[in-house]
Amino acid sequence: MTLADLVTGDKKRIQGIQGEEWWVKQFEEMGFVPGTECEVILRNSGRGPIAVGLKGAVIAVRYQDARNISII
Amino acid sequence: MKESNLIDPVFVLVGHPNSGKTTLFNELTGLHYKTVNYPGSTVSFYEGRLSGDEHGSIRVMDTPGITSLTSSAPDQIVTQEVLYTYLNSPHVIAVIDATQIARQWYIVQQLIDSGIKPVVCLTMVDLLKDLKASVDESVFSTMTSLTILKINTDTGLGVTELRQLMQSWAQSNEIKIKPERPSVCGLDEIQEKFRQAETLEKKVLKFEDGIHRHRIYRRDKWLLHPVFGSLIFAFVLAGIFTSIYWLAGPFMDQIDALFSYLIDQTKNLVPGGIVADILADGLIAGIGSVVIFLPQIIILFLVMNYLEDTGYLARGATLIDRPLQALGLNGRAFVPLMSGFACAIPAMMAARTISSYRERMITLFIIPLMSCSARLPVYTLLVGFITPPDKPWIGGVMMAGLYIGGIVMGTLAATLISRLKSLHSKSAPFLLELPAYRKPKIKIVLVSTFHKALWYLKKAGPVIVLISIGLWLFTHLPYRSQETQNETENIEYVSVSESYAALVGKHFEVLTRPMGLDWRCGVAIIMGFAAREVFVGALNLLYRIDEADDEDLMQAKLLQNMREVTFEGTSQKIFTPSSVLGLLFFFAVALQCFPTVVTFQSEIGSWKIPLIQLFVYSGIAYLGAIIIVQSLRLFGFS
Repeated sequence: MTLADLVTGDKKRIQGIQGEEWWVKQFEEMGFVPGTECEVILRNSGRGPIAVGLKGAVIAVRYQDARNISII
Repeated sequence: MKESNLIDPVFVLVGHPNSGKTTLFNELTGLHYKTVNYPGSTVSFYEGRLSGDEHGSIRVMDTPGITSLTSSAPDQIVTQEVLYTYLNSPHVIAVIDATQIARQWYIVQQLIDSGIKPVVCLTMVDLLKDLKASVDESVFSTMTSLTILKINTDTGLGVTELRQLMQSWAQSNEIKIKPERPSVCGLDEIQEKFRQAETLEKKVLKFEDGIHRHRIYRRDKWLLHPVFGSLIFAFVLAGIFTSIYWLAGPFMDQIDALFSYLIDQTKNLVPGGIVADILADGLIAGIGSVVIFLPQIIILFLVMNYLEDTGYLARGATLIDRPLQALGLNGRAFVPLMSGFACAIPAMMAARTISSYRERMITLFIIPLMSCSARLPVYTLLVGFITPPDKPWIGGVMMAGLYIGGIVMGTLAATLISRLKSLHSKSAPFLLELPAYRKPKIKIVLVSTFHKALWYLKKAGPVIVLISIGLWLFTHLPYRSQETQNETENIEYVSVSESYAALVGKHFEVLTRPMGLDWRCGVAIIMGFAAREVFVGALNLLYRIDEADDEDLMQAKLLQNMREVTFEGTSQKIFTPSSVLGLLFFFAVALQCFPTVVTFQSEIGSWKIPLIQLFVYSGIAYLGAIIIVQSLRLFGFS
């Protein structure tokens, strides 16, 4: 399951991020680190951006990027 | 930088975007600061002095918000350069949002790794209350062996302590070792650091049970909604446009009148001759063409700063991200592109927040295609020429077409450029924090707008003025003084029509002919390279419009004359609907603004791409105009 499969209100833990190292690093430095709990604050239907609550911040993530973030 | 400044102690504020760093900076400096840049670098940042300090010797610096000290994004590099290159072991104040300790602590860890021991200021403590959470500073301090201060600039919490601390630190004679750049962390290391930060946060930040940590803003449901949100965003955009053009109008008229007055006065006061003419028509007119855009730039910055401070701008950028993705861009390109409708120069400066090289280049490349306000007087004149008096709606449609056409050209250019192999490289992920909605602090917005406007004057001013003087010389030399002229002749006209520019223009009339234009219009186009709106004045001069007091009357006279002028020695009309359409296309596309080229160069530190941009756009504009004119005429449309 990935972050893109969640709906508003879901709370899950990040399992890992797929992609090249420099790409993954950008996510990790923003706080998207495996083991972190994330909460979907707002998810509109369609492929629009997803607002993700992460350690107190709300961050907009692109739909296609969210598909690379696996969650448990 | 003055030498004496370098020995004064300096405190650098470092923190995430939206961490409240700038608010604290304004508090510490008492809103008095200036934009500085180090010699030989394109890096600029804000610097002020600690207010209320009796010696006034403590420097405070604000740096762009960062998420990491090893990032390669242009604005994040500024902070790294300040800390590790320009300054000799500075004091560092790390500004951390108290509601996001685990996420923002990474910067503090990187600072410590690099040999810097920062003072940590916890901001947004008022938001802690809303979350029913509390931070225990003494535990925090013991665990990290750092000084931790809770700060609230509204209530003054912690501010006095911070000032005292800064003063005592500044006076201590402790010898500090110059910090080394932190090494780039691997993924495992980053994860380990964030785990440590999480453990730390658990110990110092306590939530009451059953409280949601992430605030859900009901208005985001609407503001980020694909349909309603986009509609609201469209309204906001329309509002920004309207204020740029309508609100600024009266101010621009006043500035215009002021500079016309100054030019006249200079000519009256300084004894006639080349000096008076250079002063009046070169220098003062040049300064005028810089200052005239200030109202628009100030309004633009004011609105943008305000929206940014409310937190709405991040929502807007998130909404527009999807359409911009199709162009190989991301939501962060929105502010620079939007600014391009006022002036390309501040727009290019605003592109620094775009982290990936590829996306920043594409943005910088297409900014000049957005119809900047200097094109408006030219559009007004030329559209006025084509519009039949009984069908004024045609003019409206054409105007809209020109603006939309610019966006379409930009879209095409971006799509083409993003396919270039050399730019196929990394396109950074788009991750944008949506900050809490806050009430903007008007004072800070005003002061920040003032500094940005001042920066525009400093950056663009000298270039535009120099180009203006240079072009004046080109279009007025060899110099003819008034005495040598027959009194009935218009001296201005004679000197321009016999200048080097005219010589070149006549020589190269073969180039302007295919556009359906004569050498005079060619010279006016050349004069427009100082700033596009100069074209209108140049036409007035070259097609010999007598001075009229009323501007509307002047415009009417110019239009009248444009309908009548013919190629010298023939009865063939120059300005016909086809040649004017070609000219409109030329103005929409040509990079007819040297100051923009110079700004692009100073933003990226290289001439290659700005010059490619200049020649490609001007080349396409020229060829396109010829194709339009010739094909229209081929089909019998004059």
